[in-house]
Amino acid sequence: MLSTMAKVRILRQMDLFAEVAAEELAQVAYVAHEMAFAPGTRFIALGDPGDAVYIIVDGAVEIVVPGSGTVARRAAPTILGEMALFTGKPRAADCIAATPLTVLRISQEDFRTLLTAKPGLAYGIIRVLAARLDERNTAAPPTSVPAPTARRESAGA
Amino acid sequence: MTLLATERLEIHTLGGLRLARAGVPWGGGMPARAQALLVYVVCGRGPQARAALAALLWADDAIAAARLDALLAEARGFLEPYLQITPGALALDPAAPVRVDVTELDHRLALARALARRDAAATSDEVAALERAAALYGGPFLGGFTLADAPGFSAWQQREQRRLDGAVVEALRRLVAHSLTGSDPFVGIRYARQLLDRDPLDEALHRALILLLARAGQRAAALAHWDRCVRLLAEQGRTPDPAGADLVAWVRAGYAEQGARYLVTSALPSFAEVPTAVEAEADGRIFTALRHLRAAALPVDTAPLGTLLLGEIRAAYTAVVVYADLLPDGSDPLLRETLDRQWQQTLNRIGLLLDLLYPGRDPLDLRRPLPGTEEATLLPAGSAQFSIQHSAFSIDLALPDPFVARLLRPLVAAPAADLVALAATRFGVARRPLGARLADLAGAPDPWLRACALFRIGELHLVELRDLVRGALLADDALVRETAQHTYQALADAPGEAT
Repeated sequence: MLSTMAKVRILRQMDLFAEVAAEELAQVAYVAHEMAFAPGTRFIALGDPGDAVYIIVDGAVEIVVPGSGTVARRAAPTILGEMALFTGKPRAADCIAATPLTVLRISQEDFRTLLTAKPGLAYGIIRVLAARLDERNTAAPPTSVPAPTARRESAGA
Repeated sequence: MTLLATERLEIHTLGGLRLARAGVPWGGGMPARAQALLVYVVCGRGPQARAALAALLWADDAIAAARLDALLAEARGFLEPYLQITPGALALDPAAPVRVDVTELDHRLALARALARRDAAATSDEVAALERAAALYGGPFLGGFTLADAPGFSAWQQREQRRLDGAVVEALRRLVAHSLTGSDPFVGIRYARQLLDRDPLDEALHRALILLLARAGQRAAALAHWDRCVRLLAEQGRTPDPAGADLVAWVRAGYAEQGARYLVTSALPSFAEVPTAVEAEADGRIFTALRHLRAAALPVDTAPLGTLLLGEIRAAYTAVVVYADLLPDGSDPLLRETLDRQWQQTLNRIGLLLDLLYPGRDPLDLRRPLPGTEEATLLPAGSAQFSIQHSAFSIDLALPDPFVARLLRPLVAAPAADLVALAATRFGVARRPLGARLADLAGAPDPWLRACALFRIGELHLVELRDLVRGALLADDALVRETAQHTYQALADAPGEAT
């Protein structure tokens, strides 16, 4: 069974919590429940409500879309369904334990309660999400308007 | 018997074992060992090996495995809709609708702990989580349920009983403490009575109940309770703490609030700690005073403030020494981050003091780490300008105060090792082995730093610090206690170490 400090160490590795002080993460660790699944266990099903996030601590998971087969494989340390903490959208695929699997499960309800009570936690996560948005905006493709020289050349062709 | 797997199974374990589906009692005819098996697997955190389950239910029985097979065959109709049964293990089917009261209780307690604030009274969210947990606890885990000839299961049952009972007691104490600081004494009265039912000789709780009754306008009940308390203690050959008599005297006189000072609320454990509030308050008073003086345009004698600044800089350099000292063990990110935070807080205080002493200047320039800078070096940058370069940060100091400049000048251009040596000579901080340094941190006032250090001790298997870790098992802070428990077990499990 993982201690709270061990859970903090794991949470610290996740990008979502990169800007949150480790001491604030102890609060998240208290509501991060350790679970274990045998190989072959489907612990997330397509269409299920996205009511929790799972952090893979040990083992690997196959992401399976019924009809399409395995579309991805994820191994520790990684986070599954982090946007479920904010959107609650239905699951888009099955998640099946490919090996003996240990995860930390954080429910959306608990996480929202913490965000309300712990502004430091909320601020740290907002900074990460803002940075991702900034990266996405910075990497946007250039405008499609051609340079003036190119327009004159094509007009004369 | 075929069951409808879609119907939710409700397992009630607190105050006795009761199984139900959709509110209707269920499981009649199910063998007791099968019920025990179901509870154990559902309450577990993952698949349970068949061999372990067999040993749990039939100790020292050479044919335990065969008995388990027979039990599973007999109870298959009950178990199959809710458990995944394979040749090697049993596990709760994640898709099966099962609700267990103890899981919900653990969840509420964990949420309350997560919401607890170290330096303040309980918030309404925390109180709500604690009250739900208290309401869920209907009695001891599997109270009254016994399984003959299964010492393994009985031992697990007793461990869980102790764990849950202890957690609920802590929650009730937190609720009483909250009630004492809040406006609703009636809630606290109920929980204080529950606690006293468990421990009728806890004098601090008796005093808390007396004060709550008085605040609720039940003065006669408060005084009657005191009489009962005195009789109870006398039956045990004890005389009450004088604080109790003092409190009652105030209550009798009609001034219950004056009696509150005799409550000794620190006797009630809580999730919150107050390691830094006093320090922050002292800083706040100093800074507030300086601001008022400056706003009033009164001359400020900087000599004593210079001494204060010298103390801050000494603390900062000590932190540098500690930090640099621990860098060989800098592989631990939690320790590094915690020490960085403390270093930043120290520098912030220095910056604030300098700003108050020399208004209009910007003496501190904290920048991000400089790549390739691995050592802490103090460099001159003018007659009274200094720059501290370190692998994790760099700081430019502009200190026109000559006496502070005199302090720093001997450290000019010193490489890290010499800086540490100079600081050791000047401030008496000596380099010591890693274990001794971690032992220091494990005794720090800051509970978070203590927990980080204890965690690292466990990771490094520093068995020579086992006695120190044992002492932390009784710490006031819950996180320190829990980390100490895990570390103590890790040290006991270390290769070559006897328990």
